[in-house]
Amino acid sequence: MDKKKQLKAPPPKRFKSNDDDDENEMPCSFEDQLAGMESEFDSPQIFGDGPENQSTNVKWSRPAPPDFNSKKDALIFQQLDIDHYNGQPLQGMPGSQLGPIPIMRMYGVTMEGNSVCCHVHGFTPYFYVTVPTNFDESSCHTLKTNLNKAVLEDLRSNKDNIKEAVLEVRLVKAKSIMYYKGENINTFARISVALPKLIAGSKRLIERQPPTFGLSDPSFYETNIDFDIRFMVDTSVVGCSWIELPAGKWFMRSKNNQSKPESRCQIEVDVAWNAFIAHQPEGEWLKVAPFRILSFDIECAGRKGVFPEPDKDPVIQIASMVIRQGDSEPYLRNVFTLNTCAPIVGSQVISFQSESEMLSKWSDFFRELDPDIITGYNISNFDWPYLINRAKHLKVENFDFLGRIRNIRSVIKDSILQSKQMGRRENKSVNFEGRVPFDLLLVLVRDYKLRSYTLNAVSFHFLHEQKEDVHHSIITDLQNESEQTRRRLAMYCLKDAYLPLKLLNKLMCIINYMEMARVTGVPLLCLLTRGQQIKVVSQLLRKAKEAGYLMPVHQGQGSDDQFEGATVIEPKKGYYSDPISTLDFASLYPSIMMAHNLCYTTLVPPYLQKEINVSSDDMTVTPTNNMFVKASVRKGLLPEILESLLTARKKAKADLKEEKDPLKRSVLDGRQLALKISANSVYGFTGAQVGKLPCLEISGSVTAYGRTMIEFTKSEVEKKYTKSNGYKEDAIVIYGDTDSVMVRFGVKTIEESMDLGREAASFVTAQFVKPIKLEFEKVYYPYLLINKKRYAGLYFTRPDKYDKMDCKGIETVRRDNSPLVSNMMNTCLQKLLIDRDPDGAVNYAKQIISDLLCNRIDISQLVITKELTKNDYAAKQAHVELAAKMKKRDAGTAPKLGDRVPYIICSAAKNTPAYMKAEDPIYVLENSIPIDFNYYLENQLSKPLLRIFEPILGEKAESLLLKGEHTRTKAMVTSKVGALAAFTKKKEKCIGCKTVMPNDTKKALCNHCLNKEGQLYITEVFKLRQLEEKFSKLWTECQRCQGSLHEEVLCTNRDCTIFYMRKKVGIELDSQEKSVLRFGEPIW
Amino acid sequence: MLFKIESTLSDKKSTKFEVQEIDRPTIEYTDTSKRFYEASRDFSKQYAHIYSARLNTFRNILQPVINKRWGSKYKILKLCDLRDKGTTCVIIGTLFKLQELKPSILKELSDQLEIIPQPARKHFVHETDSLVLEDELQRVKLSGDCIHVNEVVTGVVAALLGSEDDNGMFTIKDVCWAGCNLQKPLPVLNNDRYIVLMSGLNLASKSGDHLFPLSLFMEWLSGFCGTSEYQEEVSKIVRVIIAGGIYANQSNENTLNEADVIAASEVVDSFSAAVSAVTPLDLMPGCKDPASIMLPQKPFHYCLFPKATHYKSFNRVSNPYECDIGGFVCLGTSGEPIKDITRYSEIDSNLTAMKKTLQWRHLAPTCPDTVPSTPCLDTDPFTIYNCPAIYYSGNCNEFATDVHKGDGDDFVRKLKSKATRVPNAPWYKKSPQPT
Repeated sequence: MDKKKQLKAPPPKRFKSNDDDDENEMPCSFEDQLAGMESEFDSPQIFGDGPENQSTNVKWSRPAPPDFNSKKDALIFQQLDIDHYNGQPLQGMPGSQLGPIPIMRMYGVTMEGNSVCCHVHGFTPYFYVTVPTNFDESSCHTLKTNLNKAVLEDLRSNKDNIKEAVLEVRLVKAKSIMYYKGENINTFARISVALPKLIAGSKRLIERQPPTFGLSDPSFYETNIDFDIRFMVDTSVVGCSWIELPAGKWFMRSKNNQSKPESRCQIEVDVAWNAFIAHQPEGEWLKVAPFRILSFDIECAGRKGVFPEPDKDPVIQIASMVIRQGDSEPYLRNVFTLNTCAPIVGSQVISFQSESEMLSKWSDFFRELDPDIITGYNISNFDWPYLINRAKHLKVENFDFLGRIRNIRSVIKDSILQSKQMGRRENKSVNFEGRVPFDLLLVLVRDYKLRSYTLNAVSFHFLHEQKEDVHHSIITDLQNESEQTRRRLAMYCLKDAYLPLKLLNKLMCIINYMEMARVTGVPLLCLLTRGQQIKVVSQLLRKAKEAGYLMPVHQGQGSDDQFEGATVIEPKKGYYSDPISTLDFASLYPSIMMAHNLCYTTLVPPYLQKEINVSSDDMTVTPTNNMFVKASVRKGLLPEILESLLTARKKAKADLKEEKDPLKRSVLDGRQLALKISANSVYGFTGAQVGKLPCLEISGSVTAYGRTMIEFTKSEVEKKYTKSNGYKEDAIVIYGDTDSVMVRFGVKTIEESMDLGREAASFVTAQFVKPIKLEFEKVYYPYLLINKKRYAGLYFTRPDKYDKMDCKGIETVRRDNSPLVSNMMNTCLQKLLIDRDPDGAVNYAKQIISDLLCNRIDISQLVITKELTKNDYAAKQAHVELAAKMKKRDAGTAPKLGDRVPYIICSAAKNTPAYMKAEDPIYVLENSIPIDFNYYLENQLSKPLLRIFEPILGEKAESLLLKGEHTRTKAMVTSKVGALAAFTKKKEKCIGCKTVMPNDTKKALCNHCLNKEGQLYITEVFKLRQLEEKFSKLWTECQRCQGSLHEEVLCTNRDCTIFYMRKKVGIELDSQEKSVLRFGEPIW
Repeated sequence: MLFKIESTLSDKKSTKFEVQEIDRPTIEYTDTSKRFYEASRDFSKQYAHIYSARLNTFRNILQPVINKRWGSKYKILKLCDLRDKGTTCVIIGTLFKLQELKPSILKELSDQLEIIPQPARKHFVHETDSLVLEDELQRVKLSGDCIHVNEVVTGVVAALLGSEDDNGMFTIKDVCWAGCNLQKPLPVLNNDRYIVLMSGLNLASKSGDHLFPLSLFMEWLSGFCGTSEYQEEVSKIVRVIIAGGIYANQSNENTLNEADVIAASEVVDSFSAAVSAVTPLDLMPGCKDPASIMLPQKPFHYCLFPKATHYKSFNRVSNPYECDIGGFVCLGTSGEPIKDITRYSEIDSNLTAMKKTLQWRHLAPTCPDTVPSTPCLDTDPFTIYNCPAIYYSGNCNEFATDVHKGDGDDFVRKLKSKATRVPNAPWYKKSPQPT
């Protein structure tokens, strides 16, 4: 597909379904174009060698490598990254002997912790093209000569000095992966070229004038495969696998040898592409080498109100933490600081007087440390680009030699990843040959749906730790003050470097990603930078190669064809107080594909349907009228991939049960998860219309089968479980979606419904083709069915105790709501489902509404947060308007691009648009600005509330909840700012009866109330006491969190639950103190 | 009975019950609680100041004590100057106890969303508790046997002798507490004088149990009961101090009901007036009484005592409260700080806890960490400046008393701890003059 198509609006439609996770990558579209151009990007710029690695510190350097004798010893290492470069051929290696040739590089670590760089020689890029029937050996020769000439001519400048572009053309017998056209084997020309980038060029040239090359109407196969993936497929290397170089087959590089080392790795070797052993990750080779994982964080001293810019604002601190994979605590902790810094127990402090020196020394440290994986929080988009640009600005020599290849500088590139899973993301990427940048933020955004992705929010969510947050406006002040304040900053910086490691460990990201790389066969880095497709391509290629299939190049049409998604059985809404059994299809889509042998290779094209020589018994006609041959004729590749994935998953799960060692357990658990995700993504791949090889016949058939199966299940269950068949009640399917049906058997106990559920599941399963399996999974009791995809219930897998409260599609986690909504929904659901107390739930909701209207809700509950991504939205948006307003007030603390803007909707004149009513929560507190409670009631609370209460209360829900007695009392707050505030004069009121007091008096009570003085005083004191208690609890909590009693709390972590509470209580306490004092000082 | 008058048993009955007029002696009294009244109540401030003030004060206090104990052999360093590992030095700092079970409002708030409520705890010691020492700028983890983690609490300032090891832990070799100051020489008394200390009257309680003992007490105090000798003894009571809990005592864990307090205010007023009519009364608020919850508590508001305020002998005083009665320094709290110490340590007896506070020279070390406190600015009012002759703490579970001897000297302090909640026994106690 070409670029124009990519940018055409609207983007190509994708199919509807709820469990797909396909993606469409932008980068692939560029490949053809890029390759056609004189490529500046492929060949790294060479500036002469970077600095030598130093060895200054035992803790920093890796252990010295043992003395290897390549004749006697095998070299075994776990590879982490694979890339390739253009180089000159090495004598004695296979492949073209005429440079330049592509040479693969594998980077890895041995079990002893030594880093390895392995040059793999002789692997040649190639592709396939269909040839006419009369094409023979001599035509091959013509093709080779002509193509060679054409390609060389096409290379305008031929910078690489390519002498021979086309190395070989030979005929091969193979089948196309597309369509079942009988068992005929076709002939293809396999064209090998000198460099990977020539493939696209050759394809373009042949396409332009096929007859020149003796071809007519050629189709291309496998021209669009990444060269690294091609290599891995052909050598059976999977991501993060162990590589063994057998004794005598490899050659060590050293300074004294003819071939000099080019990398910063401790061991650098050469090997032929067909001489090494790629161990499959099984048994012994499940192990993980002790990778060095570096986590770092930088602090910049910005100017007030502007986001730090690398050409203006200095980097003042860099904190680093290093952990070995498998350890629980980092073994190396240090912080590089600009200017002095008081020592920090347990961490090395290295101070510098000049920023250039600090940066230069840090990059020395980085090279000496030689990390395999680099992590941190948002390092890809902030820390790395900032460091590199800053170093460039300060002209720090050699800073950017960060990769493992001596003469390659790390540069910043923009990459765009468009995926259905994550939407469009613009990221910066930096190259570190041989090291894997593993930005935790990217991982979390990819794998978890969270309310907020700030490090504060994330660490609270996963680690239940609040983190002290220093506002960027005071960083500069701390830096300029003294070595003690710089130490405080360093602590903060170290913590930011430490938390990503802790999170990585807790979430087992590295292990899980490594297992995913092993299962799908792609390098680790691809998992983070690429979408789902490449994983399926890698697996498909591997299977295709085994079975002798070739993968055609899909001509992207971005067609508007649509097919129907999954089915939803119309829900019978309501609150069910009886147990509801849920029957699920296990891995529905994969098992459909397996059951009906749906694959590219088994699809019978429509024009062949009549002619093909297969009996109708051996054909499956899918509900969408597509024809597939049965496995007895030809077994599909996709079913085979799925089968191996699911078998592997079963095995991993079984091993998991046996395994005792916690590390191995986590590996196995990561694996079974990776296998499950991979199995599901196969279906998505066939439906991705802008993908590598979409096939709507397959994806359409899959969903169609899914639909019929759900319907079938419904009718079978409802037919069998009836009173007339001797069951207690008629069973009713109340809801069904994609791969599950909810059945009400009419029984009263969980046990009975579990028994019936199990029975029904096996009864229905028996009627399906293997391996489709309907499973009984859980009972919901009670169950609140609100609408399609919206329900909640108590989830039972055992009869005695519920597992959890399960909510789908209900506003408990939505990010654009205030916490009030999700907290209220949660409690209401708890009361409904766990306490089974609908009245209690209604009363609770009423209470909250009444609290809201009377200003008794904590302000942090009302804060809505949005990220400020750019300043010029077309439509006015509340948070953008507010950011502009705040900038006028104080540019120093106003939110900047990329910050999250918390706001509160405040009252304003009638018909003021909502976006004008947003206000900074702190400003609201300080100036007691009235909050627009009606907005919260009508725009935030009412819909979700009505949704869950309508099934219970019916029509009257709205009048009962939103218009009842409890909504009559409202708090009136008078603002201290605003147009009218200047003209209003506050008159004191009697605390007892609220009558306005005469102007001159300062007394608390009017004469009328004076005889109740003691009583009224006590009431006020009680309010004071409550606030005092809260004040004390909140501020001492913050002292404990920041880990210091003697220093003031500076934290501005707005994600923290108590941040606004703390502010509010101080203000309220002050005003309550004043009202108590109106009774007179207790001492007379 | 409370007074030893057995010797008079043989006397003639007639003289025993003759009406006689006895004057209650007046004794010189000064309220020295100024620092408690004047504590700052500026809620825009944080708690860091009170710790800084405390540390500064104690640096001055500890200097001579250190010299006395260890001579000038070791340097007194700040943590930030602690650069060489292994050098023995003295560090002055505030202890902070890391306690897993310490209640946290963050946990409380997230628990509100949890399905299963956490069991309420009354004791927060856990085996993983550990100690750190903190000075103005830094913290260091402590190790060594000199201080047992369960015998100290957060907020105590001490001087530690020791050195930093390779792991960044500070190993304590010896410890030096501030100890109590020299006691002011006590005046010599010719006659016995008594002070009645009571607390936890619990008048806002709904049950009527307290009414009978209270009126018995009133009769006793006013001299309406006992023999003439007995009455003469009673007349030597020069002052009544109510150490908190006149409305409600601490042992009542439920939150106080506002209505009950309002209902009780008249009884409280009448009782105070009645006591004030016969003897000077110092009324301290307790942490459950209708006054601010933060220490130092200001005196009760006069509007709660329309009757009692007519008596000059009615003194509404602060909590903590310090006064000088006839040359005896009397210092005490309504009990919350002491109770809090027992909650956060393994010190289980209130008396021991009180002795510890004398050793630490601090009335309420856990304030503000776990006892609510006003955010004081320049001073820490809880430091014990003058060694008290009588030191008491109200609202304890049972009455106990002891004589405390200071570390180096042989000055004697009185410890009082008040019994409460034994409905038929009096909750008051006279204090004999020190001998």
